[in-house]
Amino acid sequence: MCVVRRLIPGTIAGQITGLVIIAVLLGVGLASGVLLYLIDQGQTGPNREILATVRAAHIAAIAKEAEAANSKEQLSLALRRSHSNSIEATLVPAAGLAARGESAPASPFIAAVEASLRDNWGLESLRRASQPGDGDSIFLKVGDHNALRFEISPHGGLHNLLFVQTICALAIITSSIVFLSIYAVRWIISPLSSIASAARSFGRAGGDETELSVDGPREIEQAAQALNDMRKRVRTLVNERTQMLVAISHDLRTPLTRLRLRVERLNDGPPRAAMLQDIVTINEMLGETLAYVRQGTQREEASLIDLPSLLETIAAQFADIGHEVSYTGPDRLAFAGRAHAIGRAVANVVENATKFGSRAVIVLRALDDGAVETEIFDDGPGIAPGLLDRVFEPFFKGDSARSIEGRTGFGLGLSIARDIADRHGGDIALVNREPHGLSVRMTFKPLQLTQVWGVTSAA
Amino acid sequence: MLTAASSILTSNQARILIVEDDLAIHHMLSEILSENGFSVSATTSAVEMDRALRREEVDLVVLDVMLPGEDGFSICGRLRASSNLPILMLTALGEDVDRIVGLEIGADDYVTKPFNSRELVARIRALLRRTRAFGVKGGQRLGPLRFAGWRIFPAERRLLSPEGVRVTTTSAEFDLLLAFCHHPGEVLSREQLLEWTHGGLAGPVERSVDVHVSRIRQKIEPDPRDPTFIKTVRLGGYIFTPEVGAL
Repeated sequence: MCVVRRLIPGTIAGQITGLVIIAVLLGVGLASGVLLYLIDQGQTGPNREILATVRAAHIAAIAKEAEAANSKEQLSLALRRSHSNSIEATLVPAAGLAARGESAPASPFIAAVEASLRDNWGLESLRRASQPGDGDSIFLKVGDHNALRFEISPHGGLHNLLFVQTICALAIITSSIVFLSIYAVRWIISPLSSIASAARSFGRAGGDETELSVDGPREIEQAAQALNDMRKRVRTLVNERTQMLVAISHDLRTPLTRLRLRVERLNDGPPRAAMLQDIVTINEMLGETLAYVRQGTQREEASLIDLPSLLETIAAQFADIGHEVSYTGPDRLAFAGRAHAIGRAVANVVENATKFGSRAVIVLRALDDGAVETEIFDDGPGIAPGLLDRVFEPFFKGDSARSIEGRTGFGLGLSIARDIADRHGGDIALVNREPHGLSVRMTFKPLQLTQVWGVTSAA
Repeated sequence: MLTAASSILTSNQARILIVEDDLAIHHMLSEILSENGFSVSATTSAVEMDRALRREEVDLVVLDVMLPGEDGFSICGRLRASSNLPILMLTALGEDVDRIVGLEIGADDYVTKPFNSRELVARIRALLRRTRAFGVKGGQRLGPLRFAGWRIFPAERRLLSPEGVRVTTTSAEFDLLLAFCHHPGEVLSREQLLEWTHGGLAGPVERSVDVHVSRIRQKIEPDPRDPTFIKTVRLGGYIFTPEVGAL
């Protein structure tokens, strides 16, 4: 069973091609079988009698000529003439030939020819007693010492001719049908591959979101249609959830605003400061959620941006709220990318760095291929090696006890950063530093510019 | 110096019109602004706002984005089409910020909810000061300007280098640069500059003008260590040397 399964090709194209080949071979085989059977029919019944009489007449004529031949030349001429027919005559010594005995029964056709020779021409055929393989031969005595051996094919030349030509024709027909069917099968199957790749790319970053074309065989058309419908349903479902999350996050901000205004009007003191800090935390978490559910739906245009100024601005914004964040790198570096997105990715990583460490440094490097690398390192505790891969999972929170001031979010920051680097054709990598601290490297590749901002505005 | 600025404002009681549909926020905002010396009218919808604008003169509008009926974006567009009234928008969505900053809608500034009331007041003051200092009240809006090949778009809050590359700044840096651009060739004192910007008010760390100036120099000067655009004037403050023209 296992062997059989291993012999069956894995692809649909392979299986159908195999099926076609087997069907063609079977058809051709059966057809030629029937043909041969019909030809063989000629050796039985009345047909056999007629054919045997015709052969006997031939043999008799050749025998007469050989008998009448005076010289060797005439004899060989007579024999050569016999070659053109479906009878082959050769001269053999007469010694060892005897009348047919019961011990060597001839085939029905040979027997019929012999009977006809005897009845119509008065020629008695002989047998070579001891030799096997003489079943299809008839011997006639010529002169005293010689005999003629006639080898008779019951089918005649037609049979041989048919056989060779049929094999050639069958080979040509079979191979052309096989090639045609391989081509046709691929043509029919090809929409399946596009369905598979559409299913594979669905929901991936940069995936092709266009509808599948629904032409092709009806079953494949149905499959494509079903996949299109499914994609539509999944998208609607996700969009609804996104809308819901956005609405929740958004609507929560109104009561949060009220709360903040109320708290601000309380008497100054530790509880007030703590409450304000909590409100800030809740708001940051809402912002994080919004950014996460909205990622990929925002279509920011790529433009030429000065990365050092962007990173300096991020460092300044963190410095202005009391964190020690600095920038090192080139003074100017133009890069085609999405300013908001890159800014958010870097800010998310810096945000983490300031949560776990006391100071962070943003480093910018230009890579050889036009890409850029940002490295953000801090002096915090780093991440346990076993968790290095897991930090990118949405909602993953490391050991929150290690964070300073208890600032925690939903754990979406790094997965958003990774998504942004991904959309810029780059990646993100985390490495622990010695003696302690974490280094986060992100690479970004330049994007195709859609428009040059400022030229249109200036016009 | 901040008290000095406040006294200037309170002397001629700036009138603020609030458009906010949440009643609690609406009341508390009115109280906070009144306490800070503004004269406040509060409305809850576009219709009420239109009525109030017909009835009285207003110096600044605080406009919520999410309103029943006509939303904040639409109101902002409508106001902008007919007047140059400074508009500060309140928004709860980051995406709104993109739209406001991208300035399809022409607001002058924005504050995100939940806002810090101190920050809101500071921004309102800065916006009023800016409007007065640059003398655009009743005149045209701040148009894009050009200096030494650089282009600055006040409405879009965008800065483009001579090579057409977008340079990012903090809002305090941008306001400071804009103040320089509106007073080229003048010696500006640190007090004046601080008055025109609200940088440092939002965060716990108050930055001096010098810090913002050195950050701007880092971003726009051909050689930040030997500045030629923003020069320091001994005992005076700073002077912006490039020629500034409208774009």
